[in-house]
Amino acid sequence: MVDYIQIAWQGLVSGFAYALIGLALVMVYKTARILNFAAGTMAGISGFLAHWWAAENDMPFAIAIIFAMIMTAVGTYVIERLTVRPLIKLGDFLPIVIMTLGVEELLANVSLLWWGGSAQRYRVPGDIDRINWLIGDFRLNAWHVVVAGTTFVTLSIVGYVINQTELGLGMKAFAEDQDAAKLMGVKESTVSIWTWVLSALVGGVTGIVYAPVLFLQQDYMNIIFIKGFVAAILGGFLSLSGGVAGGLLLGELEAFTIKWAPREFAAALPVVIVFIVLLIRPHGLFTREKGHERV
Amino acid sequence: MMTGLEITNLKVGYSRNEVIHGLDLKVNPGEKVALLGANGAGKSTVLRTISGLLTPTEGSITFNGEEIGGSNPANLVEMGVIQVPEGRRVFPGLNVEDNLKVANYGKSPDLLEEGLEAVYKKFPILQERRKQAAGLLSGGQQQMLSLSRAIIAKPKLLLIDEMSLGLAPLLVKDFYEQLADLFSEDVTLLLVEQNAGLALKYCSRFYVLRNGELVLESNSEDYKDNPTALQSAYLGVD
Amino acid sequence: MSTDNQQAQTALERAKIPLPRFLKKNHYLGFLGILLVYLLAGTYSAYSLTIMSTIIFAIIGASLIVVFGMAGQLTLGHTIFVAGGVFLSANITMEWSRGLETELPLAFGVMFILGLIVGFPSLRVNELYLALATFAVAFVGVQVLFEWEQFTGGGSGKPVGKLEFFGREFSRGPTLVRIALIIMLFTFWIVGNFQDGRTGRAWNALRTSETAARASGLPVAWLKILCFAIGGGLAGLGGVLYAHTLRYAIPENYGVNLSIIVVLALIIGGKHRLMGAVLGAVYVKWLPELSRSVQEYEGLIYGGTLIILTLIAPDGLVGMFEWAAERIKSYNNSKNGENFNSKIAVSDISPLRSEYLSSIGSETTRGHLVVKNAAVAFGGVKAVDDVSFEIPAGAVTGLIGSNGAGKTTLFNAITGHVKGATGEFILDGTSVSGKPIHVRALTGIGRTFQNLNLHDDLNVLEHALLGLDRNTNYSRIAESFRLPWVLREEKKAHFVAAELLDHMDLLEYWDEKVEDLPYGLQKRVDVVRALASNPGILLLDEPAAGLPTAEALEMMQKVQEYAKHISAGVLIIEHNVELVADVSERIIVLDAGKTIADGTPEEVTRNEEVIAAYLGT
Repeated sequence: MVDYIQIAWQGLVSGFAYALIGLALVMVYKTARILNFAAGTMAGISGFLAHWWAAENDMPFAIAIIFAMIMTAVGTYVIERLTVRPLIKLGDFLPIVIMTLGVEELLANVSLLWWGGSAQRYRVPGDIDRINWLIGDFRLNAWHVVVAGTTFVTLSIVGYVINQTELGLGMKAFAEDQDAAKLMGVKESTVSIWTWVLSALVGGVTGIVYAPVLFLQQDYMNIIFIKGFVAAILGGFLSLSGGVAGGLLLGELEAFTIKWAPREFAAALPVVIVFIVLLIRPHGLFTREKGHERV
Repeated sequence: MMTGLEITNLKVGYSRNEVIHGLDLKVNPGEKVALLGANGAGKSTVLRTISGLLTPTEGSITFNGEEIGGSNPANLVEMGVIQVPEGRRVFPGLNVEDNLKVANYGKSPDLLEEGLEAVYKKFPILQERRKQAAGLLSGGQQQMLSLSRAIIAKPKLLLIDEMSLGLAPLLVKDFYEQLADLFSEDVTLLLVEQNAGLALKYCSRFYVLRNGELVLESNSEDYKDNPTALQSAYLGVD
Repeated sequence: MSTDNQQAQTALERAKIPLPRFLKKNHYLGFLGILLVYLLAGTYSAYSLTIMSTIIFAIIGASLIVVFGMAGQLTLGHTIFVAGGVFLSANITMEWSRGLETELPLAFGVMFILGLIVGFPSLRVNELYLALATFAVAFVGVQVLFEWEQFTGGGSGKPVGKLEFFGREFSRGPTLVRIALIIMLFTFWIVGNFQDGRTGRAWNALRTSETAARASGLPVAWLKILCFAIGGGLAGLGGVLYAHTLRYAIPENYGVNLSIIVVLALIIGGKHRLMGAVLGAVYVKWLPELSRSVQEYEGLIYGGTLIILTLIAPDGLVGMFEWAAERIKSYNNSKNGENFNSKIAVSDISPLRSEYLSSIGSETTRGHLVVKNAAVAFGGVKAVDDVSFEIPAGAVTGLIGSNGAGKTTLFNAITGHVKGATGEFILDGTSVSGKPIHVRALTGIGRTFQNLNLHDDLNVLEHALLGLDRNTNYSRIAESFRLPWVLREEKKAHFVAAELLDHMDLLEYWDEKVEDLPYGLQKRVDVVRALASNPGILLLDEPAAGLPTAEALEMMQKVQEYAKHISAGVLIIEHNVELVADVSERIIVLDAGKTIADGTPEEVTRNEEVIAAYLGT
């Protein structure tokens, strides 16, 4: 029994990461119909920045994180203005995806040049990522508790922004009907920039809290990015809560597959899931099919 | 300077397809004017251009003396140019109250309180269903919601696009009868409508558009007794 | 004398439309280039690795042209095909001790089949989604390679055996370069043949508008899967060369990074042209040779190049060169005061009586359409509500109604463009209810679109050829090898297309891209495409909207003439009541999804209920 709880908890801890990145991806896709291929690398850079300020410049842990988040927001602002915005007006979305691919290539190489290719440990105060409590036979890592807490706080903040603020209302309206939203005075450029920044911040938080779990390596967030995407597909890609639920589900599925299935299969699991979901429910597990499209 | 809406030699189109070939139109402050025509005539294109969704290729649009052709829709909303879009265009996934809140976007929450109160007084059914997703409302209720958003937005120039679309005739008649009651007397109104009979009862003057060109401009009074002339202007058949 | 001569000429000859030939200018140029490298292969042995990887990248780029450049499916999982080729090669040479004679066919075959599987999601999702789905395939693919030790040797990889061909061993170095060049020639030949044939045309069509491609009777689902299979197979060949170049197969070489780089290279070079594949390969492989500092900032430069090119030259380096060439050409033309195309001799013989069009069509009149209890509901709204009518063969019928009356939805129900339509639709005795769009199109339902669903990148002639696709008889295998009957059929189609363009007064614009044409001509192109498919009944959705009445009338006359010529019926939606009354024998009026009137134009325009529906009085 404890075995199962242990696996379930492990699944949840990975699931939180997928959920957060899934959420970040869905956010941008829903409001702007853009997939951001640079999302994983951007999140990784946030992690590196926090590490760099704390470990190499002796900044207090918390301050380093705040600096990293500010840099993430500023960087995202610049990326959105310089690369995405000029293409939005053309109205064709494939070039924008290709553009984010270019940004991904650029950023991945910037981080590679800056930090090199080797893996580094991300140190947290008191090394609490090395503290394990034993509750009966159940092993609980202290940092995993922090991960869970951060996830809840992040989800609550996003939930608050989306549901309680005027900006969130504008984002939702814009996602539902761009023209109607514009006619109500919602500014496209404001919504777009804030969506990108918010999404990048969620990614940044994920990059930072998972850095101690995964080790800092140049492409350490790529795997989370892929699985976050699978989470988003599970959730139907247009539902924020669906993306989160999809992430948690994927985490659990993965944890239990690793336990019982051969390793080749466990590695292929995400793609298998994508194929199955697309086959039986292309609109996701948690959302109903949208109506018609006019020809 | 209160000169109302003035459009001179307006040309608009989508990519290479010019839809409006040089339109002149004027709506005096506080006047209620209808823009009529069969579908495909280009009426909605005119409204979408005034409200900033489309950019004119030529010509000018001024409102109270200020050039507004090609402005950002958000700035126009700030100026009081409000459009009730064709097909109602409520946000189906948002609840009724959130739909109304969007109409107050960028303005003070106090105004919203006031607006909500006014709207709920006029359409109690919206208050009753205010927590329900707008997509679940009936067509008539969605039109109420769409009009209510305009009420909250406090228009100076109101543009209504084809209120009759997809609604039962009786319901449409109701809405037209309520219009005077919903918006204050000094709101300048340009109404696009295919259903000439209803629009003429409410508007004092009208224009008829066919294939992107004006074919008729007149007072409503003059045509009440002469429907055939209007009919041939509309359809192009005798 | 000269006038007689002109009369005898076909439209194609008068417009100087070049016919497809076995060898074109591009073939000679390409062959010369490859020959040059072939002869020089031994001279620069210091660079042989760079030369090899350039050739391999060019091959992979060519295979990507199929998937991305033509069919428009942005795939980021392309390296799994390369990796497949690599590890098949390692296993065949080491475990079976066989050479290229086994490696190449097997790599192509197995990767072709893998392509069929990988292509599957493209049927279910939009292009944005697909990009991510294939990205996931690439990402997970490399992990599977790591774990699948028996096949790949796991993380430490597997050595590659000798370079052999039917037992004859070759040294690597210059010989390998020459073998690679031959494979490159083969790949380019195949891809180039597709570009010139019906499959390439169909891929280009579905890239620019799937909806319209379906309406032209193209099997869009199969075409999409096929592009992944062919692209995958060709990339597998690149993989075999990779294996022999590196002599050692390691999973980590074929990760997401490579997937992104190959796509990047093609986009930088230009994704619609084989030359783009070469330029892209040269760019990413030779730039780092320039200096060490370039090597260090390699990825940075590629990313930056891509960003800048996407902003200023979406068609890549080739696009830039073509643009420049065109500017020079048009500058020279304007200097010489020449204007192409404007002078096309007029023939006295009507195109309809030309040898190419006179045989087309059927003896019996077609277009007998029965619609029984058609209904379409969106949410709770009944857009089409129990509509039934029957149109006799060969008739011209109008369908009118106010905005939102359900006319276009009724069309979509007949052609299959709307989901969840109920009722029965029978054309000339064949029921098409519930059939996919392209099957209905092949049964004889041709249509145009209200909002002009044209294929932006294609020219006017190609639109006509697309319509003729169903009457072009050659297999895709024959096409890939450019067999004689492929050219024969293509020539025939070109002749027919030209006559049809002549009939619709579009001949002088044959090589214009449709997006550069004025609106009125675009409308005609839409009609030509539908007419070319030789439909039993032609459904025209607002063919005259936005056109001046005189122009619209002229076009309708031409359409009617042609429809009569091929014994087809016409059903036309139009707002311009004047026009409909003029051309139709009968008019059906819809209001709020129901039929409210049905009769001759005189009856209908006088009908009280119709007037009320239009004017709302």
